[in-house]
Amino acid sequence: MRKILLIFFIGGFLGACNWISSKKGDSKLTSENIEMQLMKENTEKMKKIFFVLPSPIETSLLIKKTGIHFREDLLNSTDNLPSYSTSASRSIALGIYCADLSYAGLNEQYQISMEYINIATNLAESLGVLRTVEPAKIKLLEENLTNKELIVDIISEIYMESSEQLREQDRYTLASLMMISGWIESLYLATQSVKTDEVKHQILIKRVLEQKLSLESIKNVLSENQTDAVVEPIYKDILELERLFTKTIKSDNENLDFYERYDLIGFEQICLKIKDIRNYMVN
Amino acid sequence: MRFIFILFILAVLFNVNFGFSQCKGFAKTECKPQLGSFIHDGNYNGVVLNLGEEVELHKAFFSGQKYRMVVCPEDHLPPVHFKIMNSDLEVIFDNKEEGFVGYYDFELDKSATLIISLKFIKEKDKEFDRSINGCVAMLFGLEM
Repeated sequence: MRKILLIFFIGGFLGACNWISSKKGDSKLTSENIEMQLMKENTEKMKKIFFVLPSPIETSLLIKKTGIHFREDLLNSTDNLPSYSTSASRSIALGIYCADLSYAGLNEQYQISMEYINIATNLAESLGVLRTVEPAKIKLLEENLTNKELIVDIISEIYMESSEQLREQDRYTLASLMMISGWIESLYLATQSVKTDEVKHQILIKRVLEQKLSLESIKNVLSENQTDAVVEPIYKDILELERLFTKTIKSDNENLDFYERYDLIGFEQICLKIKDIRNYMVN
Repeated sequence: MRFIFILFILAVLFNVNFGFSQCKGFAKTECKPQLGSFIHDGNYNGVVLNLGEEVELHKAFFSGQKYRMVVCPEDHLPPVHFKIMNSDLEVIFDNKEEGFVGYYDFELDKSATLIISLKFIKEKDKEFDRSINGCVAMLFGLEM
C-alpha cells in the first residue's frame, strides 16, 4: 500500500513539474533537447495547419433559418441504441444523435431535446467520455426545460467534450467518425425536408449545396484513415458525394436564375446519396 | 524494475493528458465567455504553441449567418496577431489594424472557405524565447 501511494505521489509530482516548467520555459540542455531544438529551427517556417469540420449546431442553424418545419419522424430512433455495440458504431451514433439533438433543440422541441441529451451523454460515457456536461447545468435544465439558450449550450458542451476527449485518448478515427456522421445527419434532415418543386425551398436547396465547401475538410480528415475498414466505404461515398455536388452546381454566378445555376436532377441524386450514407451509418 | 516502469507510465500519462485537458479547460472557462450572446458552435480549436510557431485554420463560413471569432492566448503569452483571408489570400480582416483585438464579428455576402492565420507578436529587435509555450484557443460563435 505504501509503495502504491509513493508511486502516485511521484507520478503526480513529475506531472506538476512538467506543467510548471512548460509555463516558465525551463529546459535543461541535453543531447536530445539540442536535437529537438535543431528540428524546431529547421521547421520554424512551417505552420500548423488545421481543417475545421462543420458542427451539427452550425449546420442545423443554417437549415432552420430557411424556415422548414421540424419533423420528428426523421430523427434516428432511440430504439436503435442497443444495436450500437462497437466503439466505431457508438461514435457514429453519437454524431448522429448530436445532430438530431441540435435539430430538436434549435426547433424548441424541449421534451425530445431532454431525451436526446440523456441518450447522447450515456452514449458518450459508454465510449469512455466522462463529464460531457456539468451536472449543475443538467439540473438547471430540468428545472427550466424551455430554456433554449441553455439547451444549445449543453449541446455544444456534449459535442465538444466528446470529440475532444476521444482525441485526447488518441482515438482520432472515432472522433472523426463522430464529426462526419453528425454532418451527414444534418444534411439528411435537411434534404429529407426539401420539395424541389416548391419555390420557397430554393433557399434550402442553396444552403445544402453550399455544404460542398465543407467537403474539403471532411476529405482531409477521412483520407488520413482511409484504409480503416469502417472509414473506407464512407470515404468512397464522400468522394462520390463530391462528384454529385460538382455535377449539380452548374455555376457560381449569383446573377443567374436559380434553375440556370443548379441542376435539380443532380440535387435529387445528392439527396439519395446522403440517405444511403446515413442509412449505412444508422444501421 | 517494475516500479520504474509504472513510474514512467504515470509520468507520461500526467504530462500528455494534462496539457491537452488544461488547454480545453482554459478554452471553456476563459475563452467561451467572450462569445457573449453568440452560441458556441461546439468545435474546440485549441493548440499548445511555442513562441515563434504559426497556426493556420481553414474553415467554411456560410452566408445568412453572423459569426463571432474569438482568439484567446494564456496570460503569460504575448498578444496574438491574426488575419482572416479568403482562398485567394486577400486579407478580409487583420487585427493589427484594430490594436490586436481578440475577436471579430462578421457576416459574408457569399459562402466561402476562409483561412485564419495567427502568430504571436514579437517585440521589436528581440527574438522569441522558443522554450516558452502555452495554450491558444480559437472559438467560433453563431448568432441565433
